[in-house]
Amino acid sequence: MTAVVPGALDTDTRPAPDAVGARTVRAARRGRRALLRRPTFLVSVAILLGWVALAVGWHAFGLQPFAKTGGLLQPPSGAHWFGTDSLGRDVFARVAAGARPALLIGPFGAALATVLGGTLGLLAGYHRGWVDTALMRFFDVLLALPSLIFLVVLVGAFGVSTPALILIVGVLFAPGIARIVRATVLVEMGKSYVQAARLQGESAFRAMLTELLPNVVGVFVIQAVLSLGAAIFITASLSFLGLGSQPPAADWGLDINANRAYLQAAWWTVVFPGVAVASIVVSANLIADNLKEVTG
Amino acid sequence: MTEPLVRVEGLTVAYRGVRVVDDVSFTIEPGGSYGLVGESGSGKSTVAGTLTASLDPDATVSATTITVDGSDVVALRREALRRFRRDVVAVVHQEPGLALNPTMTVGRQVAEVLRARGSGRADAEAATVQAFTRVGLPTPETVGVRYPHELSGGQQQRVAIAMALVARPRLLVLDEPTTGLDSTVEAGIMALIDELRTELGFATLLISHNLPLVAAHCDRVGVLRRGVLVEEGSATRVLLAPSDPYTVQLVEALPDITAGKPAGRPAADESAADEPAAQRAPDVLVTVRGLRKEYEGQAALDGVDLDLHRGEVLGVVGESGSGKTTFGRALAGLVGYDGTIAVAGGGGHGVGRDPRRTPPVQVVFQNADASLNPRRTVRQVLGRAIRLLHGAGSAEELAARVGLAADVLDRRPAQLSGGQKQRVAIARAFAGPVPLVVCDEPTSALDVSVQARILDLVLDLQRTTGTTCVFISHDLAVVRRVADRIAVFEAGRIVDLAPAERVFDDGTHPRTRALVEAAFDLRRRAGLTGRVATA
Amino acid sequence: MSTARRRLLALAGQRVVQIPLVLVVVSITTFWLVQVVPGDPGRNALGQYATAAQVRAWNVDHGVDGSLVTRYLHWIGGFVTGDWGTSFVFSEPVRDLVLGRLGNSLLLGAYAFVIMVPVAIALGALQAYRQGRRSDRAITVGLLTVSAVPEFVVGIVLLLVFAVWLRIVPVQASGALDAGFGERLRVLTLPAVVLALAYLAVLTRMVRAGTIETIRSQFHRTAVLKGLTNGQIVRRHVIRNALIPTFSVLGIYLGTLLGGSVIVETLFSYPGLGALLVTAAERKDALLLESGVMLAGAMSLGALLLTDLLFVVVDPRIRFERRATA
Repeated sequence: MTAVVPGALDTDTRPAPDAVGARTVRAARRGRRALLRRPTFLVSVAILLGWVALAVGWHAFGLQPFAKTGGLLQPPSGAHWFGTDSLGRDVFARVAAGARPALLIGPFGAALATVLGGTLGLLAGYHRGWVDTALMRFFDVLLALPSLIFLVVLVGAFGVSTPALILIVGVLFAPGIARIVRATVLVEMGKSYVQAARLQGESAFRAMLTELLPNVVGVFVIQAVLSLGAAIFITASLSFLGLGSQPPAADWGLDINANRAYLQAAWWTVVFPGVAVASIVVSANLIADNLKEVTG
Repeated sequence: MTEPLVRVEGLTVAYRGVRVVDDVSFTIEPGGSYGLVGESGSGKSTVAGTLTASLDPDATVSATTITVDGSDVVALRREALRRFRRDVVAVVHQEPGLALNPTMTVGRQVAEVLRARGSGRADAEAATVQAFTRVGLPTPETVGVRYPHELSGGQQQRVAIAMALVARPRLLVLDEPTTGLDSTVEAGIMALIDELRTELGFATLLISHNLPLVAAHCDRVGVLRRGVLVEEGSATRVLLAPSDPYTVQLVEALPDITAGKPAGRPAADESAADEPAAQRAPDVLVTVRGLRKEYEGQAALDGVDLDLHRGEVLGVVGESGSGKTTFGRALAGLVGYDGTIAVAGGGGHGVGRDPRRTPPVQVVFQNADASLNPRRTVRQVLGRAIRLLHGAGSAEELAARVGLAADVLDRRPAQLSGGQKQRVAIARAFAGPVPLVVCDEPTSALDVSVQARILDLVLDLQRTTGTTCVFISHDLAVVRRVADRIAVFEAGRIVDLAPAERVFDDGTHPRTRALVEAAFDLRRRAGLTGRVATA
Repeated sequence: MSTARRRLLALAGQRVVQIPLVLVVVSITTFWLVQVVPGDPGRNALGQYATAAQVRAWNVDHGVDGSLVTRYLHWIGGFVTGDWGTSFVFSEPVRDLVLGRLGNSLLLGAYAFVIMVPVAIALGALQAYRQGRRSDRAITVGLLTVSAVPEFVVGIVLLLVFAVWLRIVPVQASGALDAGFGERLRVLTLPAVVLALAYLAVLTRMVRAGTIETIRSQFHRTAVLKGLTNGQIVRRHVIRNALIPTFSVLGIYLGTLLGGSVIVETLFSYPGLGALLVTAAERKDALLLESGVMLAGAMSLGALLLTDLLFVVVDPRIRFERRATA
């Protein structure tokens, strides 16, 4: 392993208790404000908000994603910033409009997954016993199947309408989230403050709500953001496979698949929608990462 | 005059501008034994780290001299440093279970040291077996194929000692080597080290917060406070005639194992002012019959029968695994169990109980940090406790009763010291009229100077409220200070149950004798007990 | 009997019971999703204008008439005995179709796995030893970006560069089937790389985390203080302990890879199991879909079993007697 830096091995990485104590307290207090000073966080949020704005109001910009507004397969120019596709439609307009389907299913699906998975994880971790075992076994079974294949089957079963897709995304991600939330809950339950609350006479429900939940919320939020990115990823993939939006809808995955054949002649028809998808997913992941570093 | 083996002069270590060790100087003779005593944050581990050149790269180390066996430690690099660590210095750390590689057999880990010095495989293995025999491990020929997690804490530490000594170092650094081990195991380990020191001739540096331990096993002692060496001298002198006020404080804070429970001021409502509650005809509060608890086939509790008297303090002692902690949990209703626990005044108790009908049993946990919700302020914790336990008074009053200043009320646990956190936990437990409070090793994680005050606090509260208290501890001296009666646990059963003095002076069960002997032995060797126990 | 062998046997015993159970649950779930939810198979196949009689006839022809339970038992009975029915889309026995495609997917999946694992280990270890420095952060951001980009986008970009502009590899991977082994690998390289990139980020992160935890551990400090050389420390004390936490993820990824990667196979026109399943789902070929999913599931479980076996062999702390661990 030539990558080893000799100095790194010659150290004791535990500083004295005094220094550590002072450092962690200071760091924690800086936490929330530090978030606002991190460039990756700010840029990611800006990108996401930008796409949300486009998804909600692309009409207002006078864009026309469905009409033939230019020549066929024209390269990017002043009139068409992202060029035109095989039907003469403005790629920029299609990319802007494509934000809507992407941001419609993704966030709702992620929200469903977080609520569903989070609640199940909370219950499983808190109650343990047979509820926990049964749930986790069931999730093990679900997770045993490669997720895309499972997804394909689900879509085949329930169809490609928007509500169906939201439900599918929610169900797909819930087990993974449940596991992570459960693990956090187990750690917190090992700490005696929950037991202390119960000893004082707090009911199980109230203890879960007021003692456990506030300390577990951070994990919820991070998982929610991560699933947002993953959900958008998945919906674009589904569209790419022809199992999502149908033509002539302006949808990134759909456009990428439709224009595959023109890769050599007109790369802009494929690359720009691709970058659009990538930008949202990367932003979501970076936000989650920053949150993790600040709270962890 | 022979050149000292270890010479440290003017050692200062700083992390990001904060001085953790400040101008410390001491020497250790070849074959000598030096003890470094200090509480958490005193910098004692940092001093040890300097001697092995294993500090964080963040640390700024400056000193006039740091030499061990003639080598200037700070200047060593790479190959020279490796050889220094391999041949001159060896370290035994606090938690042997963590200090050993969990995926490598213990035999290989020890043999590794020898092979690094050039021995062939067969020789190294033979020497390993020899070393295992010397440190007193059972079945030394075959124990080498075991993994660390298959051994007990004491056995793991013996492996660590074997591993440290097999390279014949000139200096052995022991950093809290027995903290966390049972007292009888601790005695065995320390005896082993003394023997080996005489036999092999290495010098030892023993670092600990446990003053009697250090005084009993070292010739010279140094006391560290916040990075400054405030006192130094022969062990006997420092312990029996300390000159520095901090040292005096440490010595006086040691629970005196010869003194029983201090007679306190009588509770306001006691009519028979001269008789402590425990000596009156016992009024039984809790009846325990046939208590059993199994974990995965092992019996943690194996048939416990006991009557708890109202208003008494029952001390519960035993080694780890004896069942004392499980007993406390069962009393509080935190774990399921077989058998009966009947609390006078209502059916059912603990977590599943009906809060209107039965009185709640409160617990003071060992780790104060984990027992407080990190998001709640002290005021919120106390206020809620008062409300839920139907207590009287305000959060401010409760805080004052446990000796917390008013400005602490709006802080969160992360901003409190260990002692303060435990005070909050204790206040929470005594916030209302509760019949029984279980204290599960409440002072074990605290510094010695803080321990005494917390113990006094618990005693005081117990007296004024007349609450029955079950006090679990592995430290006999602590228990003697607070308990009216003592129950000795072994293998899930109570083997001895008697008033405190009887247990200490002429307890009959072998387990009791062993525990008392271990506790007395240490203090006797340290020269602490004026009166030797009648053995 | 040595403890290692005893533990292996305990594990095997547990799995012999568990795996068929899981497969049964998978089969029921799949059956429900494929045959029940979308509605009547005959109706789906013939469209909305066929008459009820025609639909019934179609159902009888394809053995999908009768009650749900009979149909399920009929199918599962056939599956277990090797009769997987006939695909109505391809008019071929399902078994031949599926197994053939499975072989292709296995090759691609294994190739991707072989690329991914050493790279992840190398990068993760590099990051761990240079933790906090620029190279560490750069690698994190870089991998994060790449993994966030959907596979089909990455695939397209790479195709653009390597197949279209540089012409090193062909655009479609379908030619892989007839050529010799070396040629097959060359054609599969791009799809394999795309697959590897998709999973690389998470795996590298886990290697990094495991290595950091190992370096910071007390036993690592002990090894350093024993005076061992860096090489000895890494070989004997770091590698095994750092990689153990990654095994579970590795197992999941191996299972996913072997079961057929839907997107990459579609993009590169590679006749693998995943692509087959997409077609089956689109055209509602129930028997094909069911058998394919069962097989993919079996591959997945097999990979997980392999991982558990590895755990038992490598980590002496794992116990399987009472309950599953890790």
